[in-house]
Amino acid sequence: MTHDKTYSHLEKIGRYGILVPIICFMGYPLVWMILCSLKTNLEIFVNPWGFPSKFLYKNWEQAWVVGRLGRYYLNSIVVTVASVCLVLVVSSPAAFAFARLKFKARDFFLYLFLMGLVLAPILVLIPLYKLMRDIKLLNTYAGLILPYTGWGLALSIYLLRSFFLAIPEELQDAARIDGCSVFGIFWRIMLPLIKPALLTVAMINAINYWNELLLALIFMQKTEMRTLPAGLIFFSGQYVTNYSLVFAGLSIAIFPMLIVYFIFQRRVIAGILIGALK
Amino acid sequence: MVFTRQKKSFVVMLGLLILPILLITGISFAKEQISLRFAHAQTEGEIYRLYSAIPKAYEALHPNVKIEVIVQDQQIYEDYGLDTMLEGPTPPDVYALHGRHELVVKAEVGFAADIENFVKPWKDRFIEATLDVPSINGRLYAVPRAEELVTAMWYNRKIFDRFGFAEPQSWSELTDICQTLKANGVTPISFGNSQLWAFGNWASLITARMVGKQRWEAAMELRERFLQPDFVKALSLIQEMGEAGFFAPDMNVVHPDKGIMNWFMGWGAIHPLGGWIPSFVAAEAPEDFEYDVFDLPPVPGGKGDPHMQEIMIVNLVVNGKTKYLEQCVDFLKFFTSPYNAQLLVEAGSMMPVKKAHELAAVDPHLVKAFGFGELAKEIIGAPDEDFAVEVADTFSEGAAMVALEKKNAEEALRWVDEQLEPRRTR
Amino acid sequence: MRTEKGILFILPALVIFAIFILFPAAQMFYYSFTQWDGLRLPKWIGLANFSRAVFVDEIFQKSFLNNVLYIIGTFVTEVAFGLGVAILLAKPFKGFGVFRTFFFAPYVISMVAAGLLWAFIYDYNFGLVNDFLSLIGLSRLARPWLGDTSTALAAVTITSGWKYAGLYMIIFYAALQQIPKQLYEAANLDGASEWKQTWYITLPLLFPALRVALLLCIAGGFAAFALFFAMTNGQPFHSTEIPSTWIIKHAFDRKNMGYGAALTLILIFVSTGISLLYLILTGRKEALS
Repeated sequence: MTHDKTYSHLEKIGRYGILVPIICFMGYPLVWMILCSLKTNLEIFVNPWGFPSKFLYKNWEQAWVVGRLGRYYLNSIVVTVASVCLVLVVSSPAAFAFARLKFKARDFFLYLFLMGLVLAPILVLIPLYKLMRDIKLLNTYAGLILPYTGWGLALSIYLLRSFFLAIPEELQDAARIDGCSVFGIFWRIMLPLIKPALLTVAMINAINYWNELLLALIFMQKTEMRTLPAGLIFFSGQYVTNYSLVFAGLSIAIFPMLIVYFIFQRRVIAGILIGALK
Repeated sequence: MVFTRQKKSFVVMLGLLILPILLITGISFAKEQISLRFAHAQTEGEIYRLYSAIPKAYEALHPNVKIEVIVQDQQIYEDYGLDTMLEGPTPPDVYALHGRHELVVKAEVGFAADIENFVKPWKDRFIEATLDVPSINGRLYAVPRAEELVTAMWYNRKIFDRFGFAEPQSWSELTDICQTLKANGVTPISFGNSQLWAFGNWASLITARMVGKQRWEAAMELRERFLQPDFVKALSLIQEMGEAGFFAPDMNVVHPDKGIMNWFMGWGAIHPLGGWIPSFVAAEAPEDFEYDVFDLPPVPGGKGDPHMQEIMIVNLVVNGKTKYLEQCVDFLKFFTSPYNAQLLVEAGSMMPVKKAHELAAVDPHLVKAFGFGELAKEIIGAPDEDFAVEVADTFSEGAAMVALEKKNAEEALRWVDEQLEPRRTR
Repeated sequence: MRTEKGILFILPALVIFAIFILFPAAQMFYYSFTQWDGLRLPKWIGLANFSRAVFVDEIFQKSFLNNVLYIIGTFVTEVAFGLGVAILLAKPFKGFGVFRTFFFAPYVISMVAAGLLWAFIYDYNFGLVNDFLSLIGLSRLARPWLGDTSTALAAVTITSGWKYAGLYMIIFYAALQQIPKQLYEAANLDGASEWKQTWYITLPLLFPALRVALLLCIAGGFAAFALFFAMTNGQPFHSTEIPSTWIIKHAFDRKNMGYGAALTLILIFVSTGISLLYLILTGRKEALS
């Protein structure tokens, strides 16, 4: 028995001994970032490990206003919300049709959309850029919302379709017998049944849109129209000499996400798990 | 006189008659409302402020003209921002453009107007040499707005004083200084080369002074190859410096602005960069920072002008597709007028306008730096502005490879030629 | 249910998909055979772009190598790391929730922010890494991590691990929960040590999850752009150049849009090909249907 006890003691020490440094490795960069954002530039050089002598909250304020992070947040929110709504509105009927309806060339169209699962936005960047330039949608919200929606279709249709497929056929047949139109079946019966799936798909898309860099970098050239990822890069390049300001900007960009995560842990993790395992 | 009721109504009637006539004639006399867009990439400093103030002053003098100023980040503007605007729904009528190469392209597509006839009457206000860049086949397609010194040897005076250095007059004196610095743990020459042009501009000057302006331009325009004995000689100078450890090891990751900040902090004694250093110092340097500048010493065995300078011209271009050609040119005339020239010079931006420097109170460091130009018989422009970006970047990268001992001079030049081969055979 | 109205249901999606994805994708094929600066008219040059990419452009070739090295690196820094931690967290113990929370936290912040933050951490003069080294007396190891061609790619890969290991930890953790407890109990009764249990029970049963994880690594690795662009954008000397950053440089900095199109097609072809090959080799073709 004592052998077991010491063994499990060693186990414990080993476990904590490995995990604690790992957690420091994962967590300290974020702590450092916030500390630095409250220091002066000089302090960052001279006193990297300590607390700031004065908590310079004005760095944060400056980053928000002068650095325009507030504006970048707004743009990201507009683009993300609009794209998510649009993609849900457009993909749910399509997913339903692919799951439950039969029509000419259905499988052909399905595979067409599924191709989007393996492609990446960089494939269409150049012609899309020219297209947006020609129809004058560069530097507009629509210029990002429409391509984003397009790219979200493949995954959304795929996921929603599998959820629709899981609904028992009998419900649909019963509604048909009652004289419900096809659209009615979709709208009044099927859609409400997959509400949690809609939420998950919305969340997955939202995360992708929020973090998208490639199109946002090239399509939004006006500073006021930038979304957060491109704005951050631009911001850190412009104020590259003002380290504490850049740290403040990074903190502002990261903080809300962390807060949301800490509150909604389980939901977030579950959603991401589903998205990853597609 | 007593206003009888009759007289009153007569006056009113007269008024009612005259008013519409006044309005109608007033409208036809009123000038057409003109709206211009002015685009540029000057995002910082006093110059940025002036780029907004000068259009406002013009508006005040011309009440029927409204000028919208559009600013973009430099890198974006040059890469695709300007092109996007020109092709977009709200193209600029007047825009700033660096160097010659892009001007030629824009003219080809109709985005740069031939304004020779409009400018001829007041052409002589500009310094002769600066009219070369905006001219195509002898006709002006832009007016030169700024002369920017591209590279000069700015140095930390406190460090120099500490070791008792005098400004080097010859190349060997320069290498001696670097040697001493290196032996004492100070990085001799630092660069913020993450965008390749900082070191590339410096290397270009060394190379052009070695091979001569004609050969330099021939190579950059891909009419000749880079792998030639004189070019090898030039890069060998850099190679020697690199082998002696005169450059900072992380120079290729440091952002240009950060490089200047590092220089303020004392990491690097000499920081070869352009004429915007004084205004940067004024805005960002610590109180006790002392600096000065010396000209790059003549390169040993150089075939080009030993005092050649690298000066970039910023042009103001009129969009060939604008509706208000005359108004735009008039705006340009205002922009480069002696009074505004003085303001711009005082803001730290050298004007290609005669006598501008005499009138203005200029930072003495800048005066000294531009003084080097007075000794120069030949001038070259910044490589990425007078030639294709791809060629400039490839050459700059080759030079940086030599500096950091990735390749020797010959290998680097061979590499440059290989990389540019597809472009050569277009 | 058979109805021709089905087309109506997919029409909006189809229109958007066609305009913003299908047609531009087709156009890419056209542009890849031209020389085009985005401003003037495209000029047809046949296969010149492709032959340049394959035979002449050593930086493009190097970028592929870098991308592959990066992917292999992430097998370690993301998958193996996540797996190890998942196993350590498998059996509940005090503070378990805290560990899981903190380990996953970096995943939720944006790639750009993570890249920019770590660029500071790797800074030669005041970065956390070099400070830490001097703290423990190893300051002679300090170097410009992102400025040295021999360490830059590894540094970026480690940052990638910091960000993504949490995802794989979650995946493996969920898979671990599926393993029936009885197997472990039986092993305990047989007197097998914890280490042996892990080796003979846990790992083999995790193979399906491992397959998925590796596929994610591959697909994600070729699609990487944000991290590299934010941290180094290919510097120093293309040691961290990946195809996507090189494409952007050609298409938008150097105005070689036709060449950029050709490079993109090659990238998509290769990455899709490798992913499909992987799926076939691991017998998961049915994942596509």
